[in-house]
Amino acid sequence: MAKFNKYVQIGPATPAVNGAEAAMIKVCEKYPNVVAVLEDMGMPGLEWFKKHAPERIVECGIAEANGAVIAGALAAEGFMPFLHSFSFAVIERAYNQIRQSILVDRFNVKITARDGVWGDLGISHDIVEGLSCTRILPNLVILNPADVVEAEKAYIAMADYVGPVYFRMEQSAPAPLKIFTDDYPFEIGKAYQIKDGKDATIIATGYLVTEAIKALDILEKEGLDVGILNMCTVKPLDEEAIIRVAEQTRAIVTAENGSIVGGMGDGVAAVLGEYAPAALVRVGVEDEFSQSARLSADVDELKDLFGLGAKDIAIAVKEAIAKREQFKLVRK
Amino acid sequence: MTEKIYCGKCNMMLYFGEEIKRRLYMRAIPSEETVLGYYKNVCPKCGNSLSLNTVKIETKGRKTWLTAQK
Repeated sequence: MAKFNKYVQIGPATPAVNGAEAAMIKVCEKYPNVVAVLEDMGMPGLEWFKKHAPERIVECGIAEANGAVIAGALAAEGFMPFLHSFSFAVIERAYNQIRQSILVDRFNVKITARDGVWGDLGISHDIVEGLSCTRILPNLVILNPADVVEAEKAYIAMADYVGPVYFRMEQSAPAPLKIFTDDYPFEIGKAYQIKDGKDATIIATGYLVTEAIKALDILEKEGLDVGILNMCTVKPLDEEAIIRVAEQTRAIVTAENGSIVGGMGDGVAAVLGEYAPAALVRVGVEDEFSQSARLSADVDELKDLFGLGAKDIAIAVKEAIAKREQFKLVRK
Repeated sequence: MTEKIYCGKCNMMLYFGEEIKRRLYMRAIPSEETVLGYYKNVCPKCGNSLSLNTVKIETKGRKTWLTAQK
């Protein structure tokens, strides 16, 4: 059984969105300037708004570009708009409006969106480009929580931080394991070392932290001591933590439920290339679109198809270790 | 060039984005003091009083001919 660091206690699978729901109510009570900007979708905490502050709901309908501009305008007047929808809509359809009307002036808009490969909604709604197309936008902080506890803490931290944030939610099944204890100290911009390891480190974000934890069982049976670094803040990346684990193991696997092109793994690769050369294998969706499973909501089929499961991460770890030997990289 | 501003006491990140003084015109945020004003000059996490003396400011970017002159 893996020995985890402080604040980690593995529990049953619990939807991360439950944490966002709980946090949204706290945020609304703390900040009376919070407004919900909807795009014909619900959002975490919407029931609270309906009951306590229906005047703080702005429904834009299926007009996502309009929603982004409205959110920017509300922020310019001192409100804190939460903009919510699927990532394909709230981000990709409104990309130019987010850039021009929110980010250029760094308005305090929080964008929460469902993103990632699995679910039964298919190629149009389950997109894998969310992280890639937001990482290149200046002034934007990107959060991608690993479990229900981190989702709640990150949501509150997002509200306390004044500036635009993209909060990515992989809210369809399967739910992630409960990973953190309730006193886990979340900080925007800081990665958390879930487990130390001598042979390699998996840098994972979002749901793939759960798969990385499951991969430890496979790797331990093969005598490998592998660490996990949880990278909830995808932008700005915690470069110090990446360099630290790269120097320790010189074998890095990145794991994300999204495209490897431009995703978190690419960000880690840039840090390694510039500051701490290490063997790298990126686990994520290759250069392709998402799909529906043949059977509705058969997420394991998609996980296997895209190579995002624990077994796939374990194979990647062994590949990274082999590369380290091939490149003759020396550990500290 | 990017800039980060942290609370000097608890290390909470208060700002991440473009280097504030870098934009040549139409600056969205005129100065670091403006950012601290967003928080009413109090850190929301630890309650520390925020001023240019109590925060850490980090700027980062590739060395260029222009920055090398400075």
